[in-house]
Amino acid sequence: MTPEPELTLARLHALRREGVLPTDAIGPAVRWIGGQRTPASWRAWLWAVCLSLGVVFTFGSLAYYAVVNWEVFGPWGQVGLAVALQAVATGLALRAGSEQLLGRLGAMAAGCLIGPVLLVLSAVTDAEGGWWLLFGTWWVLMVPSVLAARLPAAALAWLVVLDLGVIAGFEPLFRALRDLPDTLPGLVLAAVHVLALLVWEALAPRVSWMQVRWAPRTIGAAGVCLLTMTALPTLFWEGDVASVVAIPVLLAVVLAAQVRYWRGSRDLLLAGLPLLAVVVLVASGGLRLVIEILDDTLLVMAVTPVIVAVLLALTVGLLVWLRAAREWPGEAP
Amino acid sequence: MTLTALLDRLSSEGVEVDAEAVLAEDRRLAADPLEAELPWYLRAIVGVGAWLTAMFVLFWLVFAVVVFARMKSGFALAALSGVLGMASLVVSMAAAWWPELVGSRLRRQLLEDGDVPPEPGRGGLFARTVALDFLGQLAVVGVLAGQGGFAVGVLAETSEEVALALLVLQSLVLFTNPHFVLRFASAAGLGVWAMLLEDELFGSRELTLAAVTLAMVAVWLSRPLWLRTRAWAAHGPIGHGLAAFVLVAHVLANDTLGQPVVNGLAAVTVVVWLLWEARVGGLGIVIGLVLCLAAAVATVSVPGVMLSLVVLGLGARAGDRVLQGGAIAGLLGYGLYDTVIWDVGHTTRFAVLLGLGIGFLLSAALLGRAAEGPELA
Repeated sequence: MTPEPELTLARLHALRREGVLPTDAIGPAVRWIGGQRTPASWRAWLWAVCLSLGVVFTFGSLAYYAVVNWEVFGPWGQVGLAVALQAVATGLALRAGSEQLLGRLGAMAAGCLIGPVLLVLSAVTDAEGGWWLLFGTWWVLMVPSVLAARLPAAALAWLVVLDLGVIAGFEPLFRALRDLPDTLPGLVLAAVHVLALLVWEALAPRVSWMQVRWAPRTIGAAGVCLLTMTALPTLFWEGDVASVVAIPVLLAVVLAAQVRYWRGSRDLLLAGLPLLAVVVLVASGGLRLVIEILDDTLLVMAVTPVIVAVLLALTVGLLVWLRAAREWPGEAP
Repeated sequence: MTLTALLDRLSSEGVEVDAEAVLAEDRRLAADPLEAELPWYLRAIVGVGAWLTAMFVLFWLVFAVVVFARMKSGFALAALSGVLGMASLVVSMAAAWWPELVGSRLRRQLLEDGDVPPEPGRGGLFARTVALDFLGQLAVVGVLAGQGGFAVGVLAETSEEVALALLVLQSLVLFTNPHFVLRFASAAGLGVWAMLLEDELFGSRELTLAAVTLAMVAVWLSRPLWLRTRAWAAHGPIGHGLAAFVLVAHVLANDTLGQPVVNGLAAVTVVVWLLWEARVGGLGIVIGLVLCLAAAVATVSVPGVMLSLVVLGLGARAGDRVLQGGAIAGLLGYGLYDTVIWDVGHTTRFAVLLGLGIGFLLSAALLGRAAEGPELA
């Protein structure tokens, strides 16, 4: 049996509007719903504010000191600082253990600090190899800490390192092959995100810490954004091959998202975002059209309302489609 | 608190309520698709679509005004601007209230059909969707597009006239349109245009800041009164809109030394309010006084910090996480800004920041111990 939901102000006033709840019951009800401040709750609130501000100011001041004195430390001082931070995070992870949140956060921090340690070490040792090698090494070395952390945020950080590695990897490629399309990295990154989303959805039923919705939503939203930005040049000015290819890829993603997420209202956010991307691209095409005919006043006055009508129709259609999903509003949490 | 718990408590307090009827009505409302709201992310998706459309509507109106302006007819331009301003208001009101009318009609029709809870899919999906979700966004589009055209039209006139005209328009929108975003924007916009008007007329910005700060404090302190009336839904957008203006007011005022009147007003407000809370709400009087003194001292050199503290306290009192979040952002933002523009060496700045951090941590430790010990006041 599902637990009774919390009473909201909107529900309370709907009951008053329908005449079943007397007006003199509203005053006390509002007080009880909102909760009353007691000496203990005020003190607890002040404690939380002081603690948060204290942590922010203390660590902020230390970070500030490190940043403004960065050059003063010298190369080995910088290595020492980075390694010391890494050691603190690793020590925290080992001491607290992987069952406690603190230990898992420590493992995540240790994984994230691998990159800075590699960076200062490479400066000291004059290592050659470029950014892609640094991000690639970081990505591989981060695997144990991601597995130990068992946190969605750690997995997303791992994906961000991979993204950075892909972007850095295109630098030598662009140097070697001058004819490569400029928007190719965007297309590849979008493919990486789609693949990551598929892997996440496949593993989630078996891995308990992956059973959250915000993480796959973030991965999917970033993938759709990348695909939209890659396709945008084709509609707004002159797109290269990768940008043109991104349009049918986006349409395929739109269809796949409806099949995967719209049916059964599994996740209407991931079903709706690719559709919104289509609206954004149509608006971009409309803007380009208006700019091209800007000298012809009458044509602009006539064409703009048509674009408005098309955008209105698309947005309303999108809304109707999403509302029509069965079992709504019982969408995934 | 759940509805069942509320009914139990009302009954124990002696308030006569027909619990069976309330629960039956609640079940009927829960099954009514007209009462159901879209999840926030779907409203956001539709909002983006509506705003993109708004950009084109706005462009079209501004383009039309510019075309009129080229005709060098002052009368035609003024007339068009006036028509656009009024039209935006009428269209937005119609769009905002229409869902209520359509919703009532559909609900009546569904009840007449046999007084059974309506199933999803009945009553016309398209009509419901358009009526309940999209037109709310269209209202925003209409008002903003109209205001944009209106502003461009009157920009040919003097700044005082622009400010006064938009002040009137924002007031009308605030009182006539129930849409959350519009009310929020109008409440914040009232402050902006009033400040511009004061600047044009008297060369100062303090009076507006002081007045809006006072209004914001009054609106949030009187929250329980608002929430028990039919105007309960207006409190959120108006309160948050005024707070948003107050939090960014110092940036708009471009002051690095602080506005004496506003800071003084804010200091007095905090002192009186905290002392009042200390007696009525039970906050330890010693802690209250220490906080007041610390806040008053901080105000001397750090404008914006005091106002953020006021907003933070109001948010805590109302249990409003959004307000508290905005205030903390303001606190950190102003703190950082003041620290950056402060003309001292790195080491002094580091020492002050570290000292503040340790001070806050010590306060937390003291408060934690006080919570375990006897009452301070």
